[in-house]
Amino acid sequence: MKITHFGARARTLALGMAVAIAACASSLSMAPQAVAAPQSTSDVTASYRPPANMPRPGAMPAGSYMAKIQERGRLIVGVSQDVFSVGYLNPLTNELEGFDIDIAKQVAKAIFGDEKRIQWVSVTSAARIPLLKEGKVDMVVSTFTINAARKQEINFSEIYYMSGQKILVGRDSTAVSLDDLSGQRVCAPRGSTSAKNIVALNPKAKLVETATYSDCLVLFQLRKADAVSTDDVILAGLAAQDPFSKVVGKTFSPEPYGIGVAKENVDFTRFVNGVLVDIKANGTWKRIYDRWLGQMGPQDPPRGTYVD
Amino acid sequence: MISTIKNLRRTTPGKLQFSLGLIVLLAVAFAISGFSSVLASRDAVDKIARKAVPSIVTAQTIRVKLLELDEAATQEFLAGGSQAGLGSRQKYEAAREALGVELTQAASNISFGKDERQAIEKLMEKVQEYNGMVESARSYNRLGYPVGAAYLRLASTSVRTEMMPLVESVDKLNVTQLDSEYESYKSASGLRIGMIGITGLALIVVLFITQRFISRNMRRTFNLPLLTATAIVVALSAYSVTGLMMQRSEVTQARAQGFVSTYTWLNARGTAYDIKSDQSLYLIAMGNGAVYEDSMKAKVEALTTAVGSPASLKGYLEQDARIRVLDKGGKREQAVGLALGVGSNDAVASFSGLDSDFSARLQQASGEFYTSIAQADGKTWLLDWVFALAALAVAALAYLGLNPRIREYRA
Repeated sequence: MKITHFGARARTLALGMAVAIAACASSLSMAPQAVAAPQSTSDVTASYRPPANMPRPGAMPAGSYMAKIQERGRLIVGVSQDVFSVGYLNPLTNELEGFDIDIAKQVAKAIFGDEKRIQWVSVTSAARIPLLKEGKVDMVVSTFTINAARKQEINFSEIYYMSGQKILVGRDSTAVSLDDLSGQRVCAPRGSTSAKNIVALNPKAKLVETATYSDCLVLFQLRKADAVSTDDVILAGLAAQDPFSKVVGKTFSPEPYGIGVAKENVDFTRFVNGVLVDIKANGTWKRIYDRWLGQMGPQDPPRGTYVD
Repeated sequence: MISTIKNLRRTTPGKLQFSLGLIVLLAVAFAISGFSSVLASRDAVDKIARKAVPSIVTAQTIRVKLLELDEAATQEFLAGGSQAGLGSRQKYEAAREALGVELTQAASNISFGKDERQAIEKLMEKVQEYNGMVESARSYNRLGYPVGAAYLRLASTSVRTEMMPLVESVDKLNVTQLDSEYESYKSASGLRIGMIGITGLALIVVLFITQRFISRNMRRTFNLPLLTATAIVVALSAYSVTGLMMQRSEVTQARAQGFVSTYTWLNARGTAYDIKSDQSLYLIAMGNGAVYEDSMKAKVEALTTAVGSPASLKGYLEQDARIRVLDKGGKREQAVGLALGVGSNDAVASFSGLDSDFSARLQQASGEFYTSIAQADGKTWLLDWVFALAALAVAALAYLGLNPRIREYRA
């Protein structure tokens, strides 16, 4: 309860400016709304503004998408199960663990007051959007980069982590950038922005596509790929599993992560943003970051931007 | 030679001498055709029963063992380091050893040339790679690294996309060979029966004509030795023709029933393991295993088309449905527990029951096949030597019957 109270105050602060200017709190209420795209903005990470007043756990507004989830008794979340430290199935505990997993648990906690009321669905990069569109998952928290093309098909929450694309190579490799990998086999998951970036930034590199991030590491270890290129946070997880690899170079493509929600569930998108505002403000985000990704250096939570 | 024969036919003793010679000649031809037909026939049955069919059984057993191996590997992976994985590990070790034996046997028994040899060698190589990937999956899994699941997925995929086509190519070669052996046995068997019939009939006709000649010209109703020789030829011809025809019928039955049934149950047993692997892979995929669910549905459909719906299969599918309901209802932990036999052993027992049932049916079908083959073999038991002895007996009896008459005329 204490956390919720603090979260509410923090959210109020974060939204203070917007609320004052908008003066249209009713439009931000949690009542179900017609499908509408966010107003045009040059900021691709801008998402629907969070509600001024978040409903209490277990008391979701009637008719809202959250009420449906509450009625069902569990939140269905698409996650990766093979990205070490981010979203992975720990065979020692047989539990999903990682940064994304803990972020998703915060949404369940906000709906039910119980972070365990989640049904996990393992998703590949290519399956994320179809699963959302088919209504098979309520949301996807899976190193999901916000971009304009995807926003045509689904909603994204505000940014909850700012990642960037890098490369992973063998420990004795001299390559430090994608430019050094011309003619070499570079692996990335099928359907990911990383794969598109490789082709766009170095057409001479030979793209090798797989279903999952771990599959790339397998190909790398079996010497069927010379390098892996994807988001730094994912590469850090892969490198942690293979001491003969290293992550090198500078970030060459910003990858803002958002939580994917179906296009029609605007009220739920706003609710998720409300949860993110809360956890960024009350220190939960920092605690989760430090636990799972702290080895990458200190980082502050990214700020969300909104449209009405 | 021709003039000698013409001279012989001018006098009665000459005619008798000519008949004796002809009877001996035909008896030898009868013996040769019978002896060689029985030998060739026995050899053809032997080829089918002890070469072509065992090769097919070996290929199918390799398929079963591969799928058994993969089922144990996926089940062990699902159990992680828990005690529930111990049984699967033991099963994996046993299946790996059995697969090694089968592959070695197949490699040392290449019946159909280069294609079969290459496929077996490639398969042995792939199995080595597979074992390596499973061990990597296992090690990473025990370290808590998710890359282990990727190794397992890759290993399982290699079973289905790389190894199965190799097994199928060997199986296809063997089945083609069996069909060709069987067809050539069938057509040659007709020819052999015809040869025995023709030589036997020719001998009977000559014996009959000689008998009639003696009756008319020497005022004897019957020449007993010739009559005995005729009876021997008639009996042996009838017995051997009937025996070879019955042998063909037994082989046809063995092919159409025993073998087809053995093949079906071998296939069914492999498919059962494949279905179980799909269940484990479905659970490992955590809600994103639609591909394994669809794959399992297709296999169950193929299985029920082939063998119907035995109670053991129904029992297993009921347990599988329970596991899926739990998983889809957000109770993955319970679903995995049930699949591994934690708390309740029902799901594990239901699969063991299915495997035992299919194994028993396989044993029965295989038993029926080899019983039919043994019966087919029995139809020509010692017949080759009987032909040789019969030829000697016919020649001796002809001599005994005709020589006193020839001497009577000369005296």
